[in-house]
Amino acid sequence: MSPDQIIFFQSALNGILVGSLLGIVAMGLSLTWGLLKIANFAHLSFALLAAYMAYSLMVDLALNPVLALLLILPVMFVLGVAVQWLFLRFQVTTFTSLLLTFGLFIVLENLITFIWTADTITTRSALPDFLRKAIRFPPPLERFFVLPPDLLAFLVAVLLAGGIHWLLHRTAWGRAVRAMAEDPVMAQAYGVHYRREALLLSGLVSATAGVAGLLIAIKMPLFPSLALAWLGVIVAAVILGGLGNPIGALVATSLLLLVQNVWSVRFQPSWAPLFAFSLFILYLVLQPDQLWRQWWRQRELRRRLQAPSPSSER
Amino acid sequence: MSGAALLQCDRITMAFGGLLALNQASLAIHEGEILGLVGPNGSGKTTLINVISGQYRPTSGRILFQGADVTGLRPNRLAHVGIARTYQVPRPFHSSTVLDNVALAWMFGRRGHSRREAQTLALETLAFAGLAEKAHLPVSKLNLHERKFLELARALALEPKLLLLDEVLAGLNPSEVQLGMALIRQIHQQGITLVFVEHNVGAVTALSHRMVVLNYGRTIADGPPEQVVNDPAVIAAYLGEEYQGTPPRNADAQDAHTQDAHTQGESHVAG
Amino acid sequence: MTLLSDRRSWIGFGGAGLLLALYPPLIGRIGGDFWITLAFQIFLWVTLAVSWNFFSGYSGYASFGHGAFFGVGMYATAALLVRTNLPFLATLPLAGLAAAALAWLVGMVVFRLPQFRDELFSLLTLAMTFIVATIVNNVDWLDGGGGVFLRQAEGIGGWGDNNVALYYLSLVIALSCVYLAYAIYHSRWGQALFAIRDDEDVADGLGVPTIRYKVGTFALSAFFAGVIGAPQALFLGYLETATVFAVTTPLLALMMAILGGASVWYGPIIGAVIITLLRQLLTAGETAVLNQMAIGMVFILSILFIPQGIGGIIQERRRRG
Repeated sequence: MSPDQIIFFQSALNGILVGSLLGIVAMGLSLTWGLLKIANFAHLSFALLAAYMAYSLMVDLALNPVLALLLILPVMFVLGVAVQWLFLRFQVTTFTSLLLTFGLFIVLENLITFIWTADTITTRSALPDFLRKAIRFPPPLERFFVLPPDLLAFLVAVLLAGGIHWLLHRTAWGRAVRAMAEDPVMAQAYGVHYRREALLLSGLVSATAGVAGLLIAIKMPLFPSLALAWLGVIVAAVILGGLGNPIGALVATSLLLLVQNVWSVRFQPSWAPLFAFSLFILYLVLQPDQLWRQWWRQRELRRRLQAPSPSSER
Repeated sequence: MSGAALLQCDRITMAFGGLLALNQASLAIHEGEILGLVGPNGSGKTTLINVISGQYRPTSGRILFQGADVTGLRPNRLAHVGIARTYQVPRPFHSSTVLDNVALAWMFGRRGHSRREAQTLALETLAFAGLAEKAHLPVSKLNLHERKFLELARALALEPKLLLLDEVLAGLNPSEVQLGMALIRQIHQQGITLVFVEHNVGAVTALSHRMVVLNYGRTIADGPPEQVVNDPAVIAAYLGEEYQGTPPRNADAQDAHTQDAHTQGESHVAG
Repeated sequence: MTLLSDRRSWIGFGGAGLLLALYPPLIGRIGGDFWITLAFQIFLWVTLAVSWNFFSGYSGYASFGHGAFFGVGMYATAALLVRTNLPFLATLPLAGLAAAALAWLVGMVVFRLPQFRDELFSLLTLAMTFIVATIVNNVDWLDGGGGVFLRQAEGIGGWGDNNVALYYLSLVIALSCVYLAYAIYHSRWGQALFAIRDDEDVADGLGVPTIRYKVGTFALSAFFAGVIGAPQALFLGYLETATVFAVTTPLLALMMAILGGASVWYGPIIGAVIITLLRQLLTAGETAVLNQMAIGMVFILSILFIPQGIGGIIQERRRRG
């Protein structure tokens, strides 16, 4: 394998791995947007906040990552519940929630700067050794490697996406939540407790932001405007992956990062965001999934029109 | 009634995904007539209105207005050409006053008027609809029948040749229905062609010259009301209803309303 | 126009106009380059907030792209000054046109497609900003990644380092923009936009050429954001894509308009003045961060408790009284 090819595949691999980390954040946004009709952009700030909390717990208090996570999760859960409570109390529309959470985004970024300063900080010094050494693939792929934090993030992301999907589609609670998303009034008539489930869901989603935060703290240096750097990719991925679809969000983020990385190998990396966003815009404009559905149905329609009869479809 | 076709719907098909809301529906509307459009729930009445008024582009088929092909034109072009419609559930502009709602149509209708002129003209239109005293009120202060009449006034401000009324009498009490029917007759006297979608079959038979029945997106009957109402295919379409012969042609809405109350097994949900 | 109809308004406006015109020499006595710069900032944000609002506030299509138009204006001026020998004033209309052209292009595509209502439109305009920033960052004629220094350009002439000149220029731009917002609000144009906001399909059915109005107003709004970018470019002296295309710009403009009252023509002026004063007067180290947080909180609270904005409250009082 030539060096060029190695670099190509390695960056593709890195793209997927880093993408999966961001995918965890994207999943949360996708779920709230799709199921609760709240476009919660502050979710990104929550993840960053959790990352900073992990930093303090690990570096200042010398706690190990697992312990840090156990402390962060309940805090994030409560935060999620609180925010959702506010949205319910004020009966905000999706668009208003977009404005509100952008405001919250700014508040949180400044809060983080206030507490932890604008300096870039890293948990590197507090990490256990095994998290620092690159893991090589077994031969014949021994030229490729993964960094443990990345691998961990990937595994967590896949498990979370799969777990959430299972929760939503294979459990009674999940069915109730999906019903509630489709038609809140009808769902309530069937006994679904909208308020309770919404608060619970929001808390759980924020908890996933906590998980993402820990993984982020382990993986990369932190600075207050980090969430801003992710904004574009995550929003694009959430919409591309389909609102409310955690697996879609994960796949989309990984794909976007993969494309950006691979592009950067061949071409000017500074053009990479253009590619991702143009893809996103093209998707919105052309709506390929709609086009596909339309094409399929036009075919069916043509067949049916060939044999006119009072059809019994209702 | 000149009999020339003002609007011609030529094999209109409207598909939403796999659902055929309209299936090769053809219909001619003659200048100066009042056409009643009826049919059971889901038969495609409102969809047809939406297609004619330009809100939906038909999947296939053509629409000809005064001989010209207007298929797929935007609603504002159709408004300028002379087609206006009202909505089943009134959709007034909530941040404008009653007057400004109607004035907007005068401003952007067939002959664009200035804001001043439009407001003056709007007052006249409101007076015609019996809403002159409410002109400067916000729309939220109007009750249902007033909102329906506001819809009507707004549509009239477009100086249309063809006016499509989507269940304008639905939800009104008997005296309001009388008012509405009187208004419709006056509009017709001004030379406007009317298409009148209604569940209140008595009112439709009382007012219209011709009746068209839709079922599953197709026209199944087309003719004078007495004939259509007795058509076995029509009766079969309204399966579950017992129609005891023809309601008298000149029944006032009150009687027709009571009769409908006996025979109607259907709700007033859109077709 | 109703504003200038009576004697009192004339006196009021005359007085205010005189004050604005004489402000720099008056303030100069007290010793205030800071105060002149502050005024410049206020006029800048008034222009941005008012121009954002006469499209987005009136029509209901909340654009997050105003930062892109502002940035395009800044970079157009910078590029023209540095790479050609165009005089500064000549770059103003070109900056405006560049921004308007971008808005027109985007609008022609997006406003015809029904899927771009509400949130998706906002996000699309945000994505547009990222794209424009990336392009500017990569095209050498514009920025190319290294930033642009404006100090030595030929065409600057007497405009360089002349905050008083920038004061008057931005005042003129802000006044024109405000006048336009006022005129639109009271005319057929405004009625069309409000109808689009309330119920676009119905407006269409009543003869309003919705696409034309949306694209046209969007482009005009972008034009002003672009034009005010010119004096800002001079003022900054150095441009880099990260700061020029910062996401906070459109958010601030939006905040100002909503806080001040998005449904009235003068609302954004109130919001712009309040927030700019808050930002400028409390900038000193730590308090800068706190004051940004305060602004964010004010925004959140205003959306929750007074969504109609200060202007909306004034309008309601007027109607009752």
